[in-house]
Amino acid sequence: MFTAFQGLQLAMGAISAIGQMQAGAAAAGTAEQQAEQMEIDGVVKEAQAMENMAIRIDQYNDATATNDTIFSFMLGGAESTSIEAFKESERRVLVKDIDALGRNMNLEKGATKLAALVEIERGKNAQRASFFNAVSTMGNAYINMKKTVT
Amino acid sequence: MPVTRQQRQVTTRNIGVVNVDTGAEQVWQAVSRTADMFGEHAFKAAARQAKQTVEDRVQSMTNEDLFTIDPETGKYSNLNIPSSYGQIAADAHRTLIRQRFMNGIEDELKRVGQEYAGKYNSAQYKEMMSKHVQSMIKAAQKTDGVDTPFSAPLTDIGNEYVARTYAALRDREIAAAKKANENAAILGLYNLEQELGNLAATGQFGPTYLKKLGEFTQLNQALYESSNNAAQYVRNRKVMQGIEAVAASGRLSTMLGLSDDPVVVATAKRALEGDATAIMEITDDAIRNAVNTWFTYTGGKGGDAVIRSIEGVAQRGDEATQAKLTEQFDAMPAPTAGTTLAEIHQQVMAIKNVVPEASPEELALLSSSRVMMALQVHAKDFDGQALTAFADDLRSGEFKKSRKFFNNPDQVEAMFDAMSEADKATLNKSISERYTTTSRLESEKEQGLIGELKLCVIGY
Repeated sequence: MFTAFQGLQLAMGAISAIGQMQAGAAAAGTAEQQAEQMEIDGVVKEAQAMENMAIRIDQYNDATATNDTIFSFMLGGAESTSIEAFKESERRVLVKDIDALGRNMNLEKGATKLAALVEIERGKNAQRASFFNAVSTMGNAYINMKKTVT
Repeated sequence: MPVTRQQRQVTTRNIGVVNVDTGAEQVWQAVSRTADMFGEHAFKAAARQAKQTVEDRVQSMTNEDLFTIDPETGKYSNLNIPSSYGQIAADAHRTLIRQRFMNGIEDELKRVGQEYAGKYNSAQYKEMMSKHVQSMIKAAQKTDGVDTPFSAPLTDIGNEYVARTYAALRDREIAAAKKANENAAILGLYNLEQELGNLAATGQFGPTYLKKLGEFTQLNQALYESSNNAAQYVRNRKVMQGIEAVAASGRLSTMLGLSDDPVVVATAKRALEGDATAIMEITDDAIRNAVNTWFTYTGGKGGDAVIRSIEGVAQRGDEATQAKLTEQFDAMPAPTAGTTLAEIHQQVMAIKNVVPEASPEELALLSSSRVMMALQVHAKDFDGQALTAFADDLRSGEFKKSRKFFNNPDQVEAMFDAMSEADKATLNKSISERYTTTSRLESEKEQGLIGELKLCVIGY
């Protein structure tokens, strides 16, 4: 004998399952958007790193020009081997700095990308979990309904 | 003017990650939780409803439904859980049907037990009930004979019920048999009391009297051992003593009436008047013993009645009682050849019921008179010569010769033939003792002795 209470059990089970499915979908959507935000943040950080490299090069150029002016004034336009050695040393420092900045930029870019991918995966997994929960809820409602059959 | 070199002052700043969670997931989770809550309530309500439905169904089953046997399987058909039932309904059914079955077992056993108890004795009841219980157990077992939750308790309850009710039934039967025996003993004692009373009232103290007295004593003893009723036993003993007192009085008056020794009679009269010392002065052993016995049973009371009896003066009641007795006596049907002594006694006892104030002596006199009338129908004549011849015949043991004194000789001869040798010897001795002085008796007394003699014959 099928009763109204048993119908209500099934209906509530279905609603609960739909709610869980929707919650999963919402979690997945949120994760995707979060990943997009992370990628945007990564782009911004890349831009920052580029700018930092440019600033470093500008500083080097400024310092080199200043040094050349002072050295020219002091030597009256003559060339000096020691000054050349100093310049070479300064250039090496610049290269190392630019290299370090570039490396940091690449690492950060990779980390950001990975975090975005992880976030997307987390959202997908949350959706999958919601699906299984929904299936469990529906099954439970059905089993409970069957338990009360007379 | 110095040259000013400008440095970069504006760079890109970190903007951070914006949290894009809008709360949609929480909304749907809330929807789900709410639905779960309602679903849980619906489940509980449906479970209650299922239990109630099953309970109503099980309770509405009658005992007959419960113990209905499927003719195909030979098993109880309504104990199994219906296949359509869910788990909750099945659990409820399992629990309730077991309770119902356990309660029903006793009712079912009572129903069948009452039927069998009305039909059979305890032994048959036990056999039939044991068979019924076995059939119930079999019907509750699985088809392969394995016990079920229904058959296991049935074995214990059924066997215990049969044992208990069988014991009760057997005890009841024993009690009923004992009661029947007691009732039979009481009835027997009553009949013996009547018979002994009649024998004593009519002066018959021969072997029959003694035999019945012995039976009375034995029966009273057996009744006491069976019923443990001391009051009844004492009452019967008093009755017996009363009869013995009457018998002792009658026996004594007869012996004194027949005695030809005036000294012995006078001494006995003194004893009868209350002088106990006179007993030892009586020279006749038989009479002394009789007086002694009379004293034992009566305590020395009622001696004046015996004396009056000896002197031929019957104790009489008032004139009104005499008139009633005379009226009843005249109303009695005339005796015929077929009238027996027992019938006469019954008629006299019936008069006693009508005239309860009549004394035993008056009733004895009345009874003797009726017997005389009955004997007159039988006997041809009463002259002294015939009496002497009759006595001689009897004294010599020639009983068959006496037939010539009776109008219905075949009946009298048949009575003689039915007597045992011991009874014949007793009768002969009694007649011999009584008729040694016949020739000296007066006419009236002679008539009375003829009556006594013939009464002895008919009494046997």
